[in-house]
Amino acid sequence: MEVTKIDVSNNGNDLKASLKGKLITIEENNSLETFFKTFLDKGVKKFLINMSEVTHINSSGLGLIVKYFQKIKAVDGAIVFCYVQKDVNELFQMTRLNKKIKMFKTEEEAKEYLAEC
Amino acid sequence: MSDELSFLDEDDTPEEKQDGERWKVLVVDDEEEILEVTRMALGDFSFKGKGLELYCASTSNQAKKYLEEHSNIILVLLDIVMEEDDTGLNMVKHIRNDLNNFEVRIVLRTGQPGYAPEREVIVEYDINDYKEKHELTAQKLFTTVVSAIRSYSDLMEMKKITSDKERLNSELNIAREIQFSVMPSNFPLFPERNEFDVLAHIKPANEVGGDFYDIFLIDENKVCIFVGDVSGKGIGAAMFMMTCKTLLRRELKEHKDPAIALKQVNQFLFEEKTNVFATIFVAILDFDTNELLFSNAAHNPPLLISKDNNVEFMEIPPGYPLTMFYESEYSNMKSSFNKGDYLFIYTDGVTEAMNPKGDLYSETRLKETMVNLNKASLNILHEGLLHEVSLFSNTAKQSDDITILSLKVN
Repeated sequence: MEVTKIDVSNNGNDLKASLKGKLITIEENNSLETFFKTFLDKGVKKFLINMSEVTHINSSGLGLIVKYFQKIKAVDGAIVFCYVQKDVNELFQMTRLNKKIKMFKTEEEAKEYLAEC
Repeated sequence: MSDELSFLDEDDTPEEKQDGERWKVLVVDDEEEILEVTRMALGDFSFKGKGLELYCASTSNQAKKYLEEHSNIILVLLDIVMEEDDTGLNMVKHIRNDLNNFEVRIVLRTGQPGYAPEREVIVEYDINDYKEKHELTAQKLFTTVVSAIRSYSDLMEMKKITSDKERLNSELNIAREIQFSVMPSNFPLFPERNEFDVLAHIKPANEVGGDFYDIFLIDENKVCIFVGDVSGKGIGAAMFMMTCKTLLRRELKEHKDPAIALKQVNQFLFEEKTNVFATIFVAILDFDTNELLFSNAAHNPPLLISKDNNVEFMEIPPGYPLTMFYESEYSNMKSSFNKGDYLFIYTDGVTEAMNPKGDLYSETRLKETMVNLNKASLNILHEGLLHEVSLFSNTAKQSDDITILSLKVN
């Protein structure tokens, strides 16, 4: 898992990032964990994650996402995904996480939603 | 215990502990003068706040006796030519091979290098230094002892780390054995039942992992199966898995309803506040009516294999992994089986098996393989699949447990 683009705006409050690759192995999980942890610690509240290049997530990857979903919620923040690919989307449906974590077809829609949060 | 003492053997006898405050050095030489000079030269020796405990032996037997009585001698200053020309060299063999003491540092001292040339001896014998007696001034002797202490301390520290690691590994192996012993493996489990066949295999990854399954009868005419995968590895995951499996079996026996059982277990485990979670597929087969009642907590969809070899992923109810959210609800679905149909459940160790290039085995490959495999018996099917997955992975290390379970209606 690689974080290919990071764009922080609104006085360090909002973050836009693109992820690339798989979320399966411990190393892949660790790299995403470091990313989330770093920016949460810096005080970022709203995370917009572009998932267009994420090909596969397994259950432990999902666990990591839920862990940070909860941590972000705990600081009154929000995390949303956009451009989620078919396989990953199916996993979110199957695990019902699509009911918890907002997913949008486009970045624009995701942005609009975050602005209201 | 101070830092300086931390490398001392914990098994020291109480008697030895009393002089544990000093570095133990054994000097072996048949010339009384040399012993005396050494005693004088090292008389005021002190390093890291500790002095020396000097043992002097003028015969090899005396030296052997000291070595046997004191396991934590750090250095032997050893004369080569004593009773025999090679007494010192034999002593080296005795220390390393008979006493199996590889930690004590050995420095050979000789006045007659012609008897045991340095180049040959240092290569042939497991010694740490070779000195000619005239070289060993008081200062050199001091340096020799200090460097021996340092290297002995490092060795003991390394030895301790290695033995800690070995102990931990053996504890992990025990944990793994316990973990596997709670899963039924004595197939056929129900030899008196002709209505169905059931078989499960677990191929564990290297560490204590989190896959589990269970198979048991809950009624005269009902068999219950489940397969689960706990996130994470190690003792924590294994303990969580045991709790989860035990609770789920109890709830299933009580409610005979997969969705209710999952909900109950989820709430109980959520209250335990663990950081791990689990995906589980649960099914109950009524083998009078051949109806399958099943529920799912985010586990991979199983495969349905019909008797005419049509292979499809099963439509399953969605559901959160266990322990993620307290309020999780689960629902049941039903499916009718015909004689000769199979249900094939697996964990993501199968579909996420990786080859050296990093490609995943994938759902697509699994489905194709299941179409083509020989299905003469469940055993042949399972062995075939495990073989295919291991061919695919090739030299890549198995990073996750692989679990497969098949249930066939006869």
